[in-house]
Amino acid sequence: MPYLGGEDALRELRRALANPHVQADRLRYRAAVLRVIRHMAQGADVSGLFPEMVKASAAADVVQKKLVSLYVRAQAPRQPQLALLAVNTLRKDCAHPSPAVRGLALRSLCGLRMPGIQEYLRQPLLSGLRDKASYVRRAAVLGCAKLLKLQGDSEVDGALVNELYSLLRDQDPIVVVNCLRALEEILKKEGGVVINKPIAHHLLNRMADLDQWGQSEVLTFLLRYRPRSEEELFDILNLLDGYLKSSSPSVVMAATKLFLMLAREYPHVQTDVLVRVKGPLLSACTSESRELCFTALCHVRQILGSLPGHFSSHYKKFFCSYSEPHYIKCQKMEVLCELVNDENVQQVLEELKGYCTDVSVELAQGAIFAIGNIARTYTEQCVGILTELLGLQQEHITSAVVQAFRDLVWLCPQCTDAVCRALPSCEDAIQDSEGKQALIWLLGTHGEKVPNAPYVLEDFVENVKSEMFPAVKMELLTALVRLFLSRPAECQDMLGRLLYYCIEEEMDMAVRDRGLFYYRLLQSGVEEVKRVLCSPKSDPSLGLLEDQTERPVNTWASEFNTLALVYGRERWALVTAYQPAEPSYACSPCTDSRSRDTESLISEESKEILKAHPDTGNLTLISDVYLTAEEFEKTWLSLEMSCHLSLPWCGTVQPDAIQTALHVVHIQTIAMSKAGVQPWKAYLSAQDDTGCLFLTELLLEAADSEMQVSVKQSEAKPEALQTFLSVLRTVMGAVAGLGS
Amino acid sequence: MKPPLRPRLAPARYVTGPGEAAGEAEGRRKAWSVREKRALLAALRDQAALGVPEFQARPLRERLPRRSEAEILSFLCRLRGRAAREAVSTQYRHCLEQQRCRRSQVPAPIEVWLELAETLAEGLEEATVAAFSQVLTVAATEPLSLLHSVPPRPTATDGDGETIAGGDPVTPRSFPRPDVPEGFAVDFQRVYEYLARLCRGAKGPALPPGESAVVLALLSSLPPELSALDCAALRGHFRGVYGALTAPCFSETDAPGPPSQPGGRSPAMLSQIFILSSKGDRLIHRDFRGETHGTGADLADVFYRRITSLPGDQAPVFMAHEGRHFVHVRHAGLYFVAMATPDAAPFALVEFLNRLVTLLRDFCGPLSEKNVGLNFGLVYELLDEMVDYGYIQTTAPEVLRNLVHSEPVATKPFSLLDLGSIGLFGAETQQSRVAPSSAASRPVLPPRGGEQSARNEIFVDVVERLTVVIAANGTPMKVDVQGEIRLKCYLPGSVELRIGLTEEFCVGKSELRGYGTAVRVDECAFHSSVKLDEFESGRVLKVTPNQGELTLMQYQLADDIPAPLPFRLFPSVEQDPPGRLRLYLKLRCDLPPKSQALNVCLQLPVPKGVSSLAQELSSPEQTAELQPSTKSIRWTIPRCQGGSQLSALFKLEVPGLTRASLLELGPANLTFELPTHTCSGLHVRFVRFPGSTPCPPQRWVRYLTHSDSYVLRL
Repeated sequence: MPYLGGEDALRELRRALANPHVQADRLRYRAAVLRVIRHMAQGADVSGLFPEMVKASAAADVVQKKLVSLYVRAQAPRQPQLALLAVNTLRKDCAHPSPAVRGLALRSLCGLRMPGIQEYLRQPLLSGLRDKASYVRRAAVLGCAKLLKLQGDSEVDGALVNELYSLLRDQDPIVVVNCLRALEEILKKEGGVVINKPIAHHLLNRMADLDQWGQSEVLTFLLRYRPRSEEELFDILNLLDGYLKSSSPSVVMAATKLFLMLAREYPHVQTDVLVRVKGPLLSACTSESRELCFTALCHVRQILGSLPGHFSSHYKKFFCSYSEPHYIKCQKMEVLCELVNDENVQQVLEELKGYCTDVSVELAQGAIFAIGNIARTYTEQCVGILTELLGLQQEHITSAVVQAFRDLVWLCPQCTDAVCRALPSCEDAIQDSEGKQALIWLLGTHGEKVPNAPYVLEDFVENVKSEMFPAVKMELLTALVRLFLSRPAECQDMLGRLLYYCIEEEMDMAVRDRGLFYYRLLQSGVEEVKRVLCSPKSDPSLGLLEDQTERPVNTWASEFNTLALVYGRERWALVTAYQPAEPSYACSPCTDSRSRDTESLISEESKEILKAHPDTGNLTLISDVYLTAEEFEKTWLSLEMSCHLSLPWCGTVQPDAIQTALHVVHIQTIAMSKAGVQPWKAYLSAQDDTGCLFLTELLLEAADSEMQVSVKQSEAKPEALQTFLSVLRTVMGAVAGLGS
Repeated sequence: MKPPLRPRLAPARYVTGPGEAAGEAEGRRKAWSVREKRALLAALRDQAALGVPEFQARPLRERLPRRSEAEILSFLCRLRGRAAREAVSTQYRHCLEQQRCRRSQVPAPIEVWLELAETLAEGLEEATVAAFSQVLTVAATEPLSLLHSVPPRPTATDGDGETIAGGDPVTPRSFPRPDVPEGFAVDFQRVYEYLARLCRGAKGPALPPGESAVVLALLSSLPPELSALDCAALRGHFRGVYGALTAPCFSETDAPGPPSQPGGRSPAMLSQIFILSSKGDRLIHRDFRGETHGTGADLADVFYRRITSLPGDQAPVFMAHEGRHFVHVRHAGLYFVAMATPDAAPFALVEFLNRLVTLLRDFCGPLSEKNVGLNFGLVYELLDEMVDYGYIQTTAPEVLRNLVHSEPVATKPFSLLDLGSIGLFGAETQQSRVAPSSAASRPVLPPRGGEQSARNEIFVDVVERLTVVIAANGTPMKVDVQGEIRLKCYLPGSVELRIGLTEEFCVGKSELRGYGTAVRVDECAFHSSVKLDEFESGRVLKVTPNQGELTLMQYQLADDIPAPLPFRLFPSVEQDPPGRLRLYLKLRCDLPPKSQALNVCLQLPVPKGVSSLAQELSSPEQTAELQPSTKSIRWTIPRCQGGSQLSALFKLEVPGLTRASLLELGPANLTFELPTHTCSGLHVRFVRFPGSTPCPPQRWVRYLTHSDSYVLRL
C-alpha cells in the first residue's frame, strides 16, 4: 500500500468513495473512509477529497460519521469554503433523534476551527445546553468554551456565563465538571470561575457522584474557596476525609493538597494528613507503573524534607530493584539518604554499597555520594565502606570516593585520621579533574598526617606540563604551599619548581596569577604566609546547620501534586522562564505579551497610549522598498518636519562610504551631492514594516561643522522616530570615524 | 630570585616583517625561548648603561651562546619595528583623543540635564519651553518676587530672616535645602536669568556653585510638580516614554507570575495525545485543542528526539517543551504521550495514561505496534469519547462500550481449541479444563454476530509480584508482596458475582482468624464497585462486573510470609591464583513439589575485568552466557520443579584480579514466574452467580506469582 500516496492513491480513494456500489455497502463504505483517515494520519495530503467525505458523513452509520468528523475537523481550517458544506450536514445532525448523533454533531461543529463559524454555532449550542440527554449537554458546555476561543478577544457573553453557572446544578456529574472547566476558560481574564460558598458546598455534596477525574478536578477547583470560619473548615475536611483513602492516587493527592492548603494554620492537621497519605504514597512508590512510581517518589522526597523520619520504618520499600530504570534508582537513593536513622542505617548502607559497583558509572558515583551524605551523621560506618571501595582501584569509584572524603572532612573533622590513612595509593586510579582536585586538596590540607603526601604531590608536579585542567594546577599550587608550611624540608624543592613552571611557562592566566601571588606571598616571610593560609581546616558547625534545614510544610503545600514539585524548584524555574504567549489559532489578536508587564506598572488611563504604539522600540526597516525621486519630492513637500537635529562632523564627506553604510541598515539614498561640494546635501528614505516612511535630509554647510539632519515621518510615531534617529546617528557616527 | 614580569609577545609565527628576511630561515628554525629573551634584555640594559649609542652584536653574543650574530640582529630589528609600530599607534590614538576632546568639551551637568529633558519632551518642546520661558521671564524681571524667594537663613541676622520668612508663604519648602554654611547666599536673579536665557536658546552665563545647586534641585523636583501643570498631552507623552523605557526587551522574556496566581493560570488539560512506536513512528496523533505550539514543529518528532537523547541527570517522564509538558508512559514498547498544561496534576496525568493503556488493551487486545495500527479507527473513536477539548470525560469501560461502535480487528483469530501455545497459565498442569493463556488477553468487545458460547466466560486472576532481598547468609532482608485480584469479564449482561476468599484471610498485623494457618496481608484496598457487606463475616466480595478488566482488590504484604521463599542460592567462590575465579552456584527451589517455576533467569554481575567464561551446567536445557554490556553472567533455566536443586560451575578469567574486585561479584538477580502459586497463600474459594442462570458461564481462577525483583546477595 502506498503510504504517502501521491496522486494515484488519492484518485483511487476518490473513485472508491464515489462508487455507488461501495456507498450501498455499509462496511465497504466505512473501509474506504477509514483508508482516507489512515492516509491523513500518515501525513498525506487528502484535502482534495473534502466533498466526497462530507457526502459520506450523511450516511446513517455512526462510526462513519465519527470518522468523517475527524477528517473534517482536521481539514476545515485549510478549506473554510468547503467546510460550510459540512456545517449544513452537522446542523441537520444536531436535530437527530439519537442523542449520540446529536452530541457527536455538536462536538464536531464546535471543533471546526475556522473563522466565521460562530454564527452557525450559537443556535445549536443554546439548544444543546437544554437538551434532555446528558451526553449532548456535556458536548454543549465544552462547546461554549470552544466558541469563546473562536471569537477571540470579544466580550464575554453574560447570558451564556449565567447559563453555565446555572448548569452547575445539572443532574449529570460530568456536565457539572465540564461547566467548571468551561467557565474557567471563558472567565480566564477575570481570574477564572468563582467558587463562592453555595457553589463550594454544592460541589462538596456532589463529590460522591463524580468519577475519579471529576473528583480530582473538583478538588483542585475547591482550592480557591476560603472557608469563612474554623467550623466550616473542619466540616469540609471531615466531608472530604474519605477521599484520602480513595483507590485512585490522583484523587488522594488532590485531596491531600486541598487538606494541606486549607489547614495552613493547623500544622498538626497537616502532619496528620501526611501520615494518613503515607499508605497510598507507598503503594504508588511500589506500583507496577514506573511513571507513577517516579511521581510518587518525587513527592516522598518533598515530604521528607519537612518531616524527616516520616518514612523511616518503610525504608525497604525504597531499595532499588534490578530492572528499574536509572531515573527511579536515583530518586530512590536520594530518598534513602534522607530517611536514614539509627535503626535502619546499617541496612541502608549495606544496600547503597551494593549500588556502588553498578555497571552504570553515574549510578555508582551517585551511590557513593549518597553514602558520603549519610556519613555526615554516621561517620564511622560510612568511612569504613568508602575506604573498602578504594580497594577496587576503579577509576570512577576512587574519584567519587575521594570527592566524598573531601566534602566529609570539611564537615566532620573527627574522621580526618581515618581518611588520611586511606588516602595513599589512590592517586594512580584517579584520572578526572574533579577527583584530582579533591585528592590534592586533601593532601595539601591534611598533608602532615599522610606520610607520603609530598611524594604524591611531587608526581603531580612532575606531570604538571601534561595536566589538562587549570583548576587542578591551581589546586596543586595551593596545596603545595600549604604543605610547605608543615613540611618545608620535603617540599621546598618541588615548590620552587612548580612556581617556576607556573610563572614562566604556564599559559593560563589564572594559574600564572595564582603562582605569582604565592611567590610574592612567600617573599613576605613565612609568618605572613601562615597568617594568610592557615585558615581552619574544617567547619563542623556547617554540618550541624545543614541538618536542620527542615522546611515547613507550607513552603511547598501549594506545589503539592503539581509539575513544579516533580521538576524540582530550580529546574521548574528554568522551565517556566520560557513562557510563550497563549497559543491561538483563530483570527483572535492575542494581547502582546511584552506589554503585559508595563501595563501593571502604569495606571489605567495610560494604557490606551501604550496600545496606540504597539511597536514600542521595535523598528524594522524594510529593505526592498524603493522610492523614485519624484515620489520622494512629492512626499517630502507634503509632510511636516518631524525632527531636526545636528550631528558632529569633521572633515570632508565621502558619499560612497555613507551610501554603503546606509544601505546596510536599509536606508535608501535618493540623491546625494558629489564629494567636496559645499554645501553638501543628501536625501534619504526608509520605510518600516508598518508602512511608515522616514524621509531624511542631510545638510553639511561647510567642512568641519555639524551635519544638519531633518527627518519627516509619514505617520506620527515618536518611538519609531527615536529608534530611526538612533540608527541614523550610529551610522553617521561610524562613517565620521572612517572619514577622519 | 625574583622573576620579572613576563613580557607578552606574539608568537614568532605571526610576525613576518620585511626586515627579517636575512635571518628568517634561522629565526624560524629556532624560536626564542623566554629565558633567552630575558638574557638578551639584560645584555641590552647593560649596554645602555655603558652609553654605547648603537647595538653591538658581539657582546650580546657572549650572553647568548646558542645564537649567531645574524640571528640576534634580525631579532633586534624585529623588536625595533614592533616598538615603532606601537609608538605610532599609541600616538595616533592619543591624537584622536585630543581631537575628540577639542571637538566636544565635556558637557556641564546642566547641559546633560537639558539634553535629557529635551529628548523626553521632544515634540512638545516648544510649548513647554514657551511656558517655562514666560514664567521665568516674569520671575527674572519682577524684583518683588525675587525678594520673596530668598530662603530664610538660619545663621543670618535674625530680624532680616524673620521678616522675609514671615512675608512669604509660598517659599518652595519642598525643595531639599542643603546645610547652608554661614555667609552662603543664593542669588536667585542669576538663576532666573540663566534659565530664561537658556530657554531662548542662548547660552547662559556660568553659574556659581550655589546657584547651580538650586537649578539642580529645581530639575530634580520637576516630576512631582508636573501633576500641577495642566498639559494632558505632555503627561501622555511622558507615560509613553516611560513605558518605552521600562518595557522589557525581547531577550529577557517577561517573568512569569507565580503559578498559584489565579489570573495567570490556565485550566489543567491535555492538549494532545499521541502514541509512538518504539522506533518513533507516529501511530496515533490526536490534537484536541488545535493549538500550534511555537514553531509548529511536529511534536511527535520533538518528543522522540528528546526522549532518545536525554541527558543522564534528567528523568524522562515529564519534559517541558515551549511552555507545555510532555508526559509519557511506556508500555509494551510503545510510548503513550500526552501534552499537558503546566497546571496539570502529575498524578492524574500518569494515571490517565495508564488507564488509557488498560482501556486500549481491553478494546483492542494485547497492545503492539501492529495491533494499534490495525485498530486505529477504534483508537481514535475511543480517544474522542474519552477526551473532549482536552478534558477527560469518562474512562469507564461500560460507558465507553455504549459509545464506541467500531469493531476490533484481532491480530490473530482466537480459538479455544488452540492449545498449541503453552503459556504461563494452565496448560502445563495437564488438567482437562484449562483455558489457553491467550484467552484473557483478547479484546472484550464482543464480535458482532460471532459465536455466542465463546464469550460467556469470566476469569479471576490472583497475581502477585514479589520483591525480595536475601542477605548473604540466607536470611531474608526484605520481602514484599504486592498482590491484586483481577477480574476479566466477557459476560454479556451484568450479573452479580460472589467471590469467596480464603476464610482465614486477615488484614493488618493484629487480626487473628482461623487456627494459626491464617493468610495475612498488611493492607488491602478494594475497587469502589465492590460491595463488602459479607467481607467481614465470610470473606466474600460481591461485585456486579461489566465487560472488561477490573482490579477488584489490591493488597500488600511485607516481611512476613507464610511459605518459604521460592529460591535460595548457595554460592561458593574460589580464587585460583593467576587471575582465575571459580564460581560454584547451587540454586535450590523451595516450592512445594507439585509446583514449578518457569522462565527462571539468574543475572550475576562479575568483576569488570572479566575476559572469558567457561561453564558446566547440570542439565542441557539450561544455558549460560557472559553479557559483555552489563559484565554479568546470565543463566537461564526454562523450568524448575519444586524441591529440586540446580547447580552450575563457572570459571572466569579475570586478568589482574585482586581481592577487592570480589566486591564487584553480585548481587545476583533472579527473575521467574510461578504459575498456580501465591506467596501470600491467598486462594479463591469459589466464584458464584447467586441467581440461577440457564447456562452458567465458564469460570476460570488462575494464580500467578512473578518476580519484580529477587535479589540474592553473595
